[in-house]
Amino acid sequence: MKEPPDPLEAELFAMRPREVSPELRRRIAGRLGVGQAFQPDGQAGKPDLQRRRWWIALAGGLAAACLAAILLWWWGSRRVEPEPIVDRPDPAPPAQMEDAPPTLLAYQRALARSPEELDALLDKQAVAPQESNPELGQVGPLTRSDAKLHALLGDE
Amino acid sequence: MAGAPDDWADWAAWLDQHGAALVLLARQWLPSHADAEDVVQEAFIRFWRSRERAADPAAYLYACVKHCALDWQRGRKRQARREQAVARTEVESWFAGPLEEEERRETIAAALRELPQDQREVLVMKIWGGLSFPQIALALRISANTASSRYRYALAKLREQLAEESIP
Repeated sequence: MKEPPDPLEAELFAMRPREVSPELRRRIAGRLGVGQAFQPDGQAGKPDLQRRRWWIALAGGLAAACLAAILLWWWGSRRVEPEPIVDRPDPAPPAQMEDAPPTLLAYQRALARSPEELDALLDKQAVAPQESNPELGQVGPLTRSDAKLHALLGDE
Repeated sequence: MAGAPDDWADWAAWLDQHGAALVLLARQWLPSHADAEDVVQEAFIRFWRSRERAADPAAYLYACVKHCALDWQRGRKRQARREQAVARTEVESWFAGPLEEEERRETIAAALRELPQDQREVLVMKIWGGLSFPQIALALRISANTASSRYRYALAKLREQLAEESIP
């Protein structure tokens, strides 16, 4: 069963508090950035617009940063890509110079082993030029035989 | 939902429906109507920008006003302004209406001022804000039973005070 309305309660409900002033409405509209009619200074929508621009700038910045990060990652991955393995033949050893004279080291080693070995090396060296290049006998000043020299000089 | 305008996106509808009650609620802590409007402005902006996070927007709106009013009260910078405003507290009416009922309105307003603050805020939210007891409980962070009890105590005390006033 519903109670009858309390007279005091009914009287209170009938009372109306003072309405908000138009100035308060204008200020709230200005702060919320809505309602051109509430904004005599023509600043309607400015906060929202600024906020929207800020968000667009933020989104653009993030997108640019992501793009830069992707490009850097892509270039980085290309740079560290391992080169293909190529079998390169070992460089050929330098050709032995058969006709080259023995070096000082060779003489020292031969002497260190035995004097006979040094003699043998010297003998070999003394003979080697004539064997290796027979043309030297024809162009050198003392390559003619003794018999031909005597004949040229008119000796008997 | 009680206390919520049909057009959710229309801030003006919220202000039309609750503005007067919000200013009256703020007056519980503030000495002048102008200060109360300043507080309601700040509270309303805060409410409007974060209303979607509130479980009950109407309760949240009233909670915002109380919070801002208490902040204002604590503000030391406004001390001088507050002292000046106290001087004109008596001449500013809380309620509007026909001139012939002005005396009765002022009698009731004076009785309201004598109520304990926790009872008076419940009364304002219930009668002029149109909130339900669960909504008042949400706004004040009390139980619905406590809100209901405070409302009954407030009415009883008002009745008592008004009866004393009527005795010549």
